[in-house]
Amino acid sequence: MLLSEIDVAKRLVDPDDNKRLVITPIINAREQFGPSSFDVHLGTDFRRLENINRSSIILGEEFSIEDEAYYTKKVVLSARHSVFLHPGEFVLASTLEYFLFPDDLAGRIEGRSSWGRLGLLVHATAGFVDPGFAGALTFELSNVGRLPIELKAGLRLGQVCFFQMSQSSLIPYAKKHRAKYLGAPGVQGSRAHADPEMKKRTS
Amino acid sequence: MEREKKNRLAEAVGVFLRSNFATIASRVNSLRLRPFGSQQLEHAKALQKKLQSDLPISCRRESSDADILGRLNSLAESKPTRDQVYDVLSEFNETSAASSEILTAGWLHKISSFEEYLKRSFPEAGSSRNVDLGVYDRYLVRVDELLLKSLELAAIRT
Repeated sequence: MLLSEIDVAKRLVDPDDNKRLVITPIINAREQFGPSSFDVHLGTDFRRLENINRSSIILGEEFSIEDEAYYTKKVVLSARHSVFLHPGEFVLASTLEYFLFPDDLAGRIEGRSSWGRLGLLVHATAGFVDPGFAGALTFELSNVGRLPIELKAGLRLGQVCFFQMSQSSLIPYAKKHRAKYLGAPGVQGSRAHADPEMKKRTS
Repeated sequence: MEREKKNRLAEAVGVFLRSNFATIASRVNSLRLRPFGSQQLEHAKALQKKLQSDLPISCRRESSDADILGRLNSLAESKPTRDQVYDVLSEFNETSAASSEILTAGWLHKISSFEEYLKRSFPEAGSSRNVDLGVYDRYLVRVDELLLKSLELAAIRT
């Protein structure tokens, strides 16, 4: 069941800690609450994939490199600065909002029509949020338009909708074996190298 | 006997630290970030509670959960206008915290929680448990990560 704005609002103040949804900060509730979704803003940090020191993404030895700095460049924006996403470019970013999902709610992050019409995609494939997840949500930003798009922290780029599960998860994300992206308050690069099947390839 | 001595010492240290809110506030104030008074200290204490829940503290909400829930429930009992609904939803708006409030909340949190993590890191005398500095390391890194992100986000909003 997709939650309405009032159901989302009630979850934000639910007296039962196990049912409570946390979203912080809420900057402008009037603008952020939609009929069946909640708008989210672009956060302050970005990670751009670097290709200067790697020829390709090869399963195995390249993913065994755990130093994120080696294959991504981190950019942190202050309030006055912006970045330009050029046509064909891809960067990782995160929501300004930090989320804490209860064990019986799942979510999906989607783009907003206004940005989509300019050619901005907010996720490549991973728009789903598991129950029990905590952290900022990741934007996988790409520009499929023909003009560079200026981005700055605080822009309302996406929206999250919430789904009531048929029952609470018994293994919510926070308790999951290998919860690779739990608790990050900002953008995180890929942790694909931590997947067990990747480790087999390297050994 | 040893444990009793330890507990007495811990209590005395706790009393000393709690009585030093004002000193901490004055040290933060000396950074000349913004005027820091009793109101900011109250804000910092509210932020400290949020930090204890492992959340970033760039802002705080004025309205209580119970008040908002009561107003949301009363909406369901009537046929509210659009403006009435937005009026209630606006109660969720959070106020940006000042950097000094965020920093103070961080100090208050560390003062109130570091002992617990030290105990988890270092075994008591006679225990067969090994020293696990990783526990204390992860605690410090996590608190600082949340504080840094909070300062970044508060700067965006102010």
